[in-house]
Amino acid sequence: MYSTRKIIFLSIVTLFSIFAMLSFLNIGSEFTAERMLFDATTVNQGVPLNPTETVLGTQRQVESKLKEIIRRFPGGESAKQAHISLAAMYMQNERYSDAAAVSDKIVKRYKKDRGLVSKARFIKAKSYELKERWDKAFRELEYLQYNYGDTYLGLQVPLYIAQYNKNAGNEAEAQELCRKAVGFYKDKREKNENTWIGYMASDLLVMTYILLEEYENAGRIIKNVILNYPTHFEPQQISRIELVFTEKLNRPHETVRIFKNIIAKTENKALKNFLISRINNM
Amino acid sequence: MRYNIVRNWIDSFDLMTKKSFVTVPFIIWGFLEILALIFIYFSTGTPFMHITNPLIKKFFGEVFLHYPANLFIMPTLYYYANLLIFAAIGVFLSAVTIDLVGKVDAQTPLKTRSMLEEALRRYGPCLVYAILIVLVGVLVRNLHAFGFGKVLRYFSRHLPQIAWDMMPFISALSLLVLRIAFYAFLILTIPIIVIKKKPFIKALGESAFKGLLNFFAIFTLLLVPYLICSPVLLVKIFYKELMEATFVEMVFFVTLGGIVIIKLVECYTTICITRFLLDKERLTKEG
Repeated sequence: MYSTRKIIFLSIVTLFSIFAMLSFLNIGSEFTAERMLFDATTVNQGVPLNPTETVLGTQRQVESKLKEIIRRFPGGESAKQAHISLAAMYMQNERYSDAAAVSDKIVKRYKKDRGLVSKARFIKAKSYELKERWDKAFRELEYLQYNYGDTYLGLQVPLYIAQYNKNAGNEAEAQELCRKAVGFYKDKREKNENTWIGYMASDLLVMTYILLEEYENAGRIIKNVILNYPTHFEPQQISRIELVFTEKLNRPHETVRIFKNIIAKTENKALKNFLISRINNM
Repeated sequence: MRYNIVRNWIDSFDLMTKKSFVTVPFIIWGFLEILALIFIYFSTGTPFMHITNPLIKKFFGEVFLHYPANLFIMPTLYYYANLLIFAAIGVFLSAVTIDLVGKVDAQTPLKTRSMLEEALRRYGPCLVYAILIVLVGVLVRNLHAFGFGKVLRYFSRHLPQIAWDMMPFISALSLLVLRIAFYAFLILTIPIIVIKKKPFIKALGESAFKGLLNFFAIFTLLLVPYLICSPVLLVKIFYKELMEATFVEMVFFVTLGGIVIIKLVECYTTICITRFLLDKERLTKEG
């Protein structure tokens, strides 16, 4: 009979060879790029927490990993994400010029990917803001609002600008900007009814009314969103409903009615249980 | 006369180490399972992606096509691959081991070609047996889920916190015990087909009858080796926590380690059960 040891040895060698061959086949593929990106971004998450010398070393390590992904896998999805992560990392580390340069590169290289370009433009605007160059940041944000108004970040710009002015103490200007934002979101809502943009615009309209302290209007839109977009409901809206109806308008029964309405419509068990517990607490 | 279980364990271990060629079918089985695991690991990469990506997207969702989410479905994909290998070739290979043990015991010469030809003739019954075992496995799992839930609801108020913390392990262990209790009635089917050359239905009936008469001996013969490898079970249950605590590829190494250990135990218990049947036959002949 055959030697068992020989068979075990041959099996192990064969398995190792197959593993090595498949690894080799995937060296230049998106499979490896995604792995490298995950490694780099998970390391990056720990970076701003500990500003010591070793962390500086880690930052360099993350930077070189992200650059390697961009260099080795230029055409893939991971390269796009690596560009964005690199720009965000530069911004976090106060390397604003580098962040702006990477953002410009993204805008040039990935013109057709509107979601990605809007992220890059936002990072550039945020870098200017952190650099205390609000004039430049404002120009970037305005461009984002009018040219990328169909993206997640582009839609948020009017409220973002109003919020910035309010935080800066420019109350009158903030009020005016909020009014403009209301107009912008109403327009988007009407033109994009029953779509993702319509839902986002409605949600942002609620937040703008809250900033304006117009809680009746906010409540009206909340009810409308729940009626028209039952499948889009997101858990973070719960706190907004409680703020508007229970705290500000002093109508807890309205909160309960809305929660019961959501419970009846949603298929999300965790959300159902959470809402039941909120009703019981009230 | 009571059957000497400890003697069986010692003799089976001796046979496994001294006549190690009896383990070769299980080495092949393990090899195929590890190969399947490697293919699953690279399933979203080259060259499998064109076939596997649409399937993963359809049954699990697009997010599982990307790293590291693809590794979280690895145990599920491996489970299905494992079932397929078990039904298609696993039982057939374990029948070859049983044949080898029988021939070693009878001291008949081992001829690879004639053994393989004989084994191929048994492929049909092996396949039917494998399907039966899979169905019984599903039935036992559902029974366990139902019964365990009932028992837990009854005792829930009296259980200490530590029991709740250990609940996944307790649940897996009780499922293992229940599974072995059921298999005690079926496990002798293939040894009876191979050694006593009986047709499938008769072998199944005899296995159930022998299982009933010798339940304690068969149950203990199987349970103890599996209990020894229960730490592997524990590691496999908490693979998500392990992935988060160490690195995401940990699931690959945990599954790989599980295959090696479980195959060793399966090989050992197959030898134990075959020896049990041979001993019983000998005792019957001796009167």
